[in-house]
Amino acid sequence: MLNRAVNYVKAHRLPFFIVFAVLVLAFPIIIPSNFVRGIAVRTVLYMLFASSLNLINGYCGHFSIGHAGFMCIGCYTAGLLATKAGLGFWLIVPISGIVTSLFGLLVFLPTNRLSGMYLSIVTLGFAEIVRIIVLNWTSLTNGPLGVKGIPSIKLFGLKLTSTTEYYYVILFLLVLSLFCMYRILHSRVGRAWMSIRENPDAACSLGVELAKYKAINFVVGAFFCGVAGCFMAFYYRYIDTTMFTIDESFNVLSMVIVGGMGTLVGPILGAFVINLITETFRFASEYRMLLYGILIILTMWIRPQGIAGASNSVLATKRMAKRVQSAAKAKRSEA
Amino acid sequence: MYILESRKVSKHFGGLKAVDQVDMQVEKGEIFGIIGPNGAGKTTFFNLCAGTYPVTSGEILFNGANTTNKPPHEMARLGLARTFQNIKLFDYMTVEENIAVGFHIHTRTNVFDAVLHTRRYKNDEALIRERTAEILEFVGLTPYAKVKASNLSYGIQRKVEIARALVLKPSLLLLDEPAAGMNPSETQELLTFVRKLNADGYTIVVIEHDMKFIMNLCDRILVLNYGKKICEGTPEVVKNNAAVAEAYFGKGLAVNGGNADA
Repeated sequence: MLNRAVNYVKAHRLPFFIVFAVLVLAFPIIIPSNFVRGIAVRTVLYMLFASSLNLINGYCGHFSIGHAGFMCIGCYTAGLLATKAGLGFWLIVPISGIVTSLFGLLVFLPTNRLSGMYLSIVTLGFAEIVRIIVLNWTSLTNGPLGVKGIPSIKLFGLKLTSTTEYYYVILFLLVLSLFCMYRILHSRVGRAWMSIRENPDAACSLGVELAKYKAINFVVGAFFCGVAGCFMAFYYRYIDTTMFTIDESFNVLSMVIVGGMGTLVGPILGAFVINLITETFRFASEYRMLLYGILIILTMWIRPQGIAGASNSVLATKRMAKRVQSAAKAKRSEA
Repeated sequence: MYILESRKVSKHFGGLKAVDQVDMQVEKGEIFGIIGPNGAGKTTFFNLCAGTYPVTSGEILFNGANTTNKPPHEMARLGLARTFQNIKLFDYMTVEENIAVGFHIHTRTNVFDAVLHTRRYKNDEALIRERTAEILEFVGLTPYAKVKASNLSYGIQRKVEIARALVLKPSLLLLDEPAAGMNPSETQELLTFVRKLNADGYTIVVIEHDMKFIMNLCDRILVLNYGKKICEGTPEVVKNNAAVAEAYFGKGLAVNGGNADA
């Protein structure tokens, strides 16, 4: 059923795409409620966070569980540059990306011999260390009081104030980032990453420098996270370290897992679904976490490759069905 | 000058001498076989030559240069390509993409080229497209170009792996048990294919258990047992060597002629 629907959409790509694009673009105009628009901005923001994590977790065989660390660095870089150095948003976007990617390199360099679970633990530790340093470096970051009074985004000298305008800014950043990611993934670099994910030994035997490309992967993933972090600072106007706890890492991670690792659409879908659920079940407050858990378990159980996961798994189930059928036929003919 | 030479190469895993003082010289243009009973250290020796493991002692020379303990990706750049005993393809990538990864050392696109689609990116991709088509044609895999590697049959997967190695334009090709798990007709096809490669100028070192395959194919053969070299020479020499027969069949259970000694 689901497969048939997916195939139908695939066969009629263009009309579906146009309808989808119009809906996405017109969304804040159609929807009168500012509250819902706010949710939309947050959702798109998390789509970008999830996409950046997906670049790391889905394509190069890493499993980072400390994405909040990169988010924190991106966000604070932007917040501090805006309030202390008075730079504008569009200048800070790349700076914040680059600073975050430098930290990505910093985490990766001493750990490039680690892989799998060991690297995951390092990323988890890194995220906590970042948060604690930011919390305690009061002279720079204002500690537990957070960074206040981040100015609004300016575009051609105009101050952007409404949620609708912010929605278009983050949508633009998301589309631009996805465009870059797509191009990187469909090049020599992306293929090198995927070869490492699929089989490091074979990749190495073909001349792919494992350490170098794993490092590049971390750096690029962190860059896009920094970009998203920059927007986050400007959108919320106020940031503090409670926004970057371990929970936040797992929040983004669950979006990537539920949506489907290793596909560009996956994290987008995942962020949408998770945000939808968290917002709908806001009344249930803490029990939402329970729902998360159930959702992840269900995904792992029913569709381990995620909602948008690789189609080869779908094929695999089809093949399995065929095999069962032919086996049954053989039995019948025997009888 | 030999294309690949090992001088008293040893590899110890703790107390186990997996490879023990092995000397080997492979000449340019030949097909060189390595055989031995299970656990003789053939694959370990291969891995030492390809740089996968560091050696415990000894030296490895490739094209006359000392390449002892060079990592595999550097060996690939120097012109050594290999396949694996248990096929190592990029399962969730298509045959085309598998081959494209092989162009890594021949292309130079970086992240910025990829994002901006610079001339370097365009040249690289054009090269990859053109040469991939050529290679697929050469090994007869064109119909499978868009198929995911994991969905292919075993024999075809072997071919993809060899094709991927050929993309490196290697001066030496190491094949680790290429005929394992193949039926006789597939083995025969492989034999013809490897001969064709050799005729095209590739020097080939091959590990194999299939005696008929190796005796038909190789110019010279090295026999390992318990990590030690027990014999080296042409297939004829190896066939008639007592130590080799003993390694494979054991001793003390002579059936006819041997009875006189007992």
